[in-house]
Amino acid sequence: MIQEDKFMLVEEKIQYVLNFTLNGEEISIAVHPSRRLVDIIRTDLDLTGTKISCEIGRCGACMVLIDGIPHNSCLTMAYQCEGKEIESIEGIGKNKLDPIQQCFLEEGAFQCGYCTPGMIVSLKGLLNQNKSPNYDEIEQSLAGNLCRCTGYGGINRVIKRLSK
Amino acid sequence: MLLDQDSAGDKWRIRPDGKEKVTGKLRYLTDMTFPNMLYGRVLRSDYPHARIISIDTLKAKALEGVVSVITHEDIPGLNGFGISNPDQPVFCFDFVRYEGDAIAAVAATTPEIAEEALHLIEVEYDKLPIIDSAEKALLPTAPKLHSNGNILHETDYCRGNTEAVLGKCVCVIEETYETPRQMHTYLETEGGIFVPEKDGRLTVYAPTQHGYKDRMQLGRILGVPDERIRVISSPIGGSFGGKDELNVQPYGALLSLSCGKPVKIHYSRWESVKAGLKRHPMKITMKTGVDANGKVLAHEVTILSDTGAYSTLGGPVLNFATEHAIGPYQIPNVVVKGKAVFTNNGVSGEFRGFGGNQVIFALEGQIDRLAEKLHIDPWELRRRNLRNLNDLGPLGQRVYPTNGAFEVWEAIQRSPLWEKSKQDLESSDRWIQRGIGFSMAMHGSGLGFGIPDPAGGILRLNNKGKIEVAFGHEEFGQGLLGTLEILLLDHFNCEKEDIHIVIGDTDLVPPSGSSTASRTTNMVWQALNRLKPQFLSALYEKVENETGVNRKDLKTGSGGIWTYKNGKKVRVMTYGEVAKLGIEDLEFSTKFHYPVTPDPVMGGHYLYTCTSVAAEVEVNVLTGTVKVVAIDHTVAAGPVINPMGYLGQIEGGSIMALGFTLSEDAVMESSEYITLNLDTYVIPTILDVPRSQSVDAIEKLPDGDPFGPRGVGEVGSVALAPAIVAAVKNATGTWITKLPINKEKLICDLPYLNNEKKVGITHDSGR
Amino acid sequence: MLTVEKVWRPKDLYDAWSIHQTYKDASCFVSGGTWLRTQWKGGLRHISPHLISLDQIHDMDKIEEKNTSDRSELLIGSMTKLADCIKHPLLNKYGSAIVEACKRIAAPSIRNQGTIGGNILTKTGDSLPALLIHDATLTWFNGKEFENESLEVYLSNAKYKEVNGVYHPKILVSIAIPLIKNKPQNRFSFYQKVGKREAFTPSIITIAGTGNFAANKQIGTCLLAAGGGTSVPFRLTSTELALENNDLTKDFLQHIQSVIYRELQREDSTISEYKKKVTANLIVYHLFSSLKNL
Ligand SMILES: Cc1cc2nc3c(=O)[nH]c(=O)nc-3n(C[C@H](O)[C@H](O)[C@H](O)COP(=O)(O)OP(=O)(O)OC[C@H]3O[C@@H](n4cnc5c(N)ncnc54)[C@H](O)[C@@H]3O)c2cc1C
Ligand code: FES
Ligand code: FES
Repeated sequence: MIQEDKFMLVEEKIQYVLNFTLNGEEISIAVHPSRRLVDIIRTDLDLTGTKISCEIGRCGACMVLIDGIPHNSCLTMAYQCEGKEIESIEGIGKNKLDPIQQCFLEEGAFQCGYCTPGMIVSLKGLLNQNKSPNYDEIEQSLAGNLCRCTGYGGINRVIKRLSK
Repeated sequence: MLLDQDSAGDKWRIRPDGKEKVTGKLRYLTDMTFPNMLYGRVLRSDYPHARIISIDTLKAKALEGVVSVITHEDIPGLNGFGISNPDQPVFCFDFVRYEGDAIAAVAATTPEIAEEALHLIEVEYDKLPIIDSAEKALLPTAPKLHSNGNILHETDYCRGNTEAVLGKCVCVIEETYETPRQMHTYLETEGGIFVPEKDGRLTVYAPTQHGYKDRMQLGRILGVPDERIRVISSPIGGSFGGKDELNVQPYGALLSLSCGKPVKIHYSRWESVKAGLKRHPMKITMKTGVDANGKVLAHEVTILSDTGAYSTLGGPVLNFATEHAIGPYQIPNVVVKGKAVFTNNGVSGEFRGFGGNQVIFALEGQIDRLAEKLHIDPWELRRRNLRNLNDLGPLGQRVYPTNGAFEVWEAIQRSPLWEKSKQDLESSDRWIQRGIGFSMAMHGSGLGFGIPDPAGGILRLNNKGKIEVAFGHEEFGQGLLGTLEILLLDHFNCEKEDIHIVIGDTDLVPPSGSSTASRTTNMVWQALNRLKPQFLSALYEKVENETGVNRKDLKTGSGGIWTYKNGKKVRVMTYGEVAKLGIEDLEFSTKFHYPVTPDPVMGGHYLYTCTSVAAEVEVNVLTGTVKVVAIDHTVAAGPVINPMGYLGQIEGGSIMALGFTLSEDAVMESSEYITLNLDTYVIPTILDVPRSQSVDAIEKLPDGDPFGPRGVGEVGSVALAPAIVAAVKNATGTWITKLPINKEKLICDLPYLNNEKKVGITHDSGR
Repeated sequence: MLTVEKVWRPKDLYDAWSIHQTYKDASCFVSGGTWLRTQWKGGLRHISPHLISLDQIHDMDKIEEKNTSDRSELLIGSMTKLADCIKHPLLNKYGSAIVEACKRIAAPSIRNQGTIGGNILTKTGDSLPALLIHDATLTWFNGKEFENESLEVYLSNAKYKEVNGVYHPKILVSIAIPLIKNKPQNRFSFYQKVGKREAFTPSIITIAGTGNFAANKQIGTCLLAAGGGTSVPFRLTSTELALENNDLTKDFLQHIQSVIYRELQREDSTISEYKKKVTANLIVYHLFSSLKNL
């Protein structure tokens, strides 16, 4: 017979308290352990820079950094964020625009802008891991971010600049 | 002029909405929340075609947390919507005609409860036979989907004696082309928030391309005067024509009024796929004949368009296709017969290119095939048939003189791909075959003859001392705000801090017509040209009265109105100071109609944008995979107002067309979607596109042109498919007639074992 | 409405096992959860009331070399993220086809969360053809002890059971790949995936192969595998046999093509013409170009 207490770290019916940092701020929030990170960020915390579009990891609009590395927040569950450092678009260029953001502005790398936070988060994640990526590496890092408006024209101009 | 940052100079401007977008601060309408907000969901049909026997909502209503469940019985006004013909029920009650048909809607305190409530609504159906193709809709045995039968609209254009002339042509090509059910795939799915206000009005926060039209349609459904509704409709996370028609609005509006609380609806991708519009799949047969010199003498076209379950803009799309099936070519004998038919396959509607994309693929394919048969260079064959400056339009209507077709025909020859296409394309890998193809198109802007196409705007000094414009147009990413900013700075020589732009709110803007049909830039350009003289003369008069400086010596500029004193520029008054004197006499509005042909030809256009495209492909004949490695565009659309926006429209439109050609198809089986999300509905990623596309903008217009910039919102997406298909033909010897390209047509057996230089493919026609 | 009641995060395999034994069908192991989420969202299966996350179990996400007196192998922990597989020096050294395969799975962000174990247990994962040609062995924990099963056997059984099954009666602990330290001369190895677009695409066809050439043009040994779409990948054993100790002349390659056709047809009677042709094209092409690169 299974002893609940021994194994049980999280329990849904009594919502458990998830602790993590978001954009440098410590967050404690009572949620369902299988709740998606995207819902916690967008709905529970009302940070709507993180977008939602396919909900199956296929578009990249919901991209966030977990411990500095890109993750699709529509695929990540609350319990997987326990104790992690999470950064959403709101955390990037908080005080001063990040050079990636500046590049997006100058190169016209967005139109409707709905894919843009995800794109920028992916690029930030790459630069966290690789300080001077080449063109191919940057392009590969955006394979999971769809954009319907730009045809990637401006985004390619951004890559050209970032890979210099 | 090759468009880029360098050639654009200081017109290459950071978009006014840019910072908010790159920082994630911008609240799209689907990001908004309100206190006490409820969540709405819509119950969709279980079947693509059925009779409804009963609808029982009792159990759903009893669920805790459910605030309202509504059906057709709860609609105070018209149970129908549709831009051109409101035949789509808000809620079905007798029949369902596609799997996205709505039957009921629920508002509940959480999305989960709303979802569960949907499962508790009991609907009894009597399944009916389905019509899952346009051909089947025309069979005498087909069930009738609407009281008038299965034909939504027919076109029949005829000049000369095509049949007789075809018989005498030295060469006739007859071919049937098929195009896919392309999905707009705006990244922001449909959604919005609906807020009943204390004064009894309703505020609608939901993306649309035409706020006033939504207001009218909603007023009709709710049975209230339009003024009781306020539609706030920008910013928008992409639309491409797909959000011009109503989507969530009727449900959100009805639910919020029935609950007296704000209701939010945001479709999942699944719901968006099932309920949303798509591009009309068309089957186009063309029979085109030439004389020995390559002069096209006769052209016979039939178009069969699958409009799906309801009208929306299926009729106008067919009109557009009918006109564009003739294109920029002068052909003496023409017959075009089109049919748009109802089926149980989703709903087809407005989509960037508006029926042009489909027929241009066919028409350009015909020209290329004729050239091949005649052993004439395909580009030369085009020249021999191209329209001249003062020729009539495709449907014989008078059009504003345009030489755009010839200009783009000429200009594309400056593309590096032109030279390259004359050489033998060597490939280091034998199984990779390379080819280059060209195509062109002439694309009408505006809605065309017979459709009200009003425009208008307001220019004023506002009480904060800003030069303010208000337009009923929308910002869905195309860069309207940037365009307006550039125009205003140009007109008034002022700073961006001196201006204020109002769009996307029916309480604040005048009716300006829809932001579609590549018309917006032209409309705002014309409006400002009309308003500026009146505004300036009133402004200068006021300043003269106040300061005594002669109005002739006044000029608007940074921060206010300036004059020259002793050869030095001095500011006479700030805009704020002028505003303090009163602003009532400083507001001007204009109303006018989009330029339209004087000849009564239904749907015929008056203004056109022309384009030619070059595409280079690499076909891997082991796998049949086509990779587009270079695309060059030339576009003749008059002056470039907003270079970043212009370039973006062409680049973006073009890649949408790349998807249309290579991978995109919302596949239906027995009238049910099987590509329900972005895992199976495949749009291009960054790795599928050339790293850069060049856009050569031809700004020249005929002397004395009064109309200014023609639109570029659609033209980037209309001519790429035939260029890719021509390139594939040059690479492999195979003609493609159906999109997206079926890879199976392009594979061959073990080419690398063969010693021949160019590998023949083991089948001939590609059909 | 089915909802999750609990998410369990056991610290060792025994605990994981007993939770699973308690809830059986009402429970489900989760590694990265990326595939599971798409299944839930796509309505292909209900979310289990008890999710048993394996992420707190130690040492399941390591790649290391293990040498015993009679053999050396590379052990890949089942919880190793795909991104970590790509970066790992040992895997790059000994399993380039596997690394290549991982690079072609999904997109970077998914690979930061999805695991190799999860990929294997989807039974259609793109890593499988590469693992098959490396003669991989799976190590399971069955509640009492660890048991080994060759991947090939596991997959051929899986094919006839529930495809894409969630209910795994055992816990996948690691994957072992025999190490060939003294690489024979003239080794070759290839992997290719074909999808609807260039990247970030479900595969239509995936192939992998490895082997070596003996004297001149003669193929020595060779292992081939194919998969893609919803079909469970398999080894092309008849083709391998037909190739061994033969000269790769043009005529012979033509013959091999028909052998491949037959074998594909036998393995999957519903296989499309396109898939058959492309699989054969790619295998023959890769063999031929390996030969040319000698
Ligand atoms: C957007 C997207 C794109 C994708 N693209 C690809 C692709 O190109 N190629 C491809 O192959 N796959 C693809 N996948 C599928 C999937 O994400 C990957 O296969 C991934 O490796 C699965 O790993 P996971 O850790 O997330 O598995 P999970 O989803 O956690 O688990 C997968 C299955 O294995 C079971 N399971 C997991 N670990 C164990 C264990 N140790 N013991 C017993 N059972 C276990 C789970 O119960 C479940 O049935 C894609 C997924 C997404 C969301
Ligand atoms: S919403 Fe997460 S990837 Fe699309
Ligand atoms: S800018 Fe609209 S989707 Fe990328």
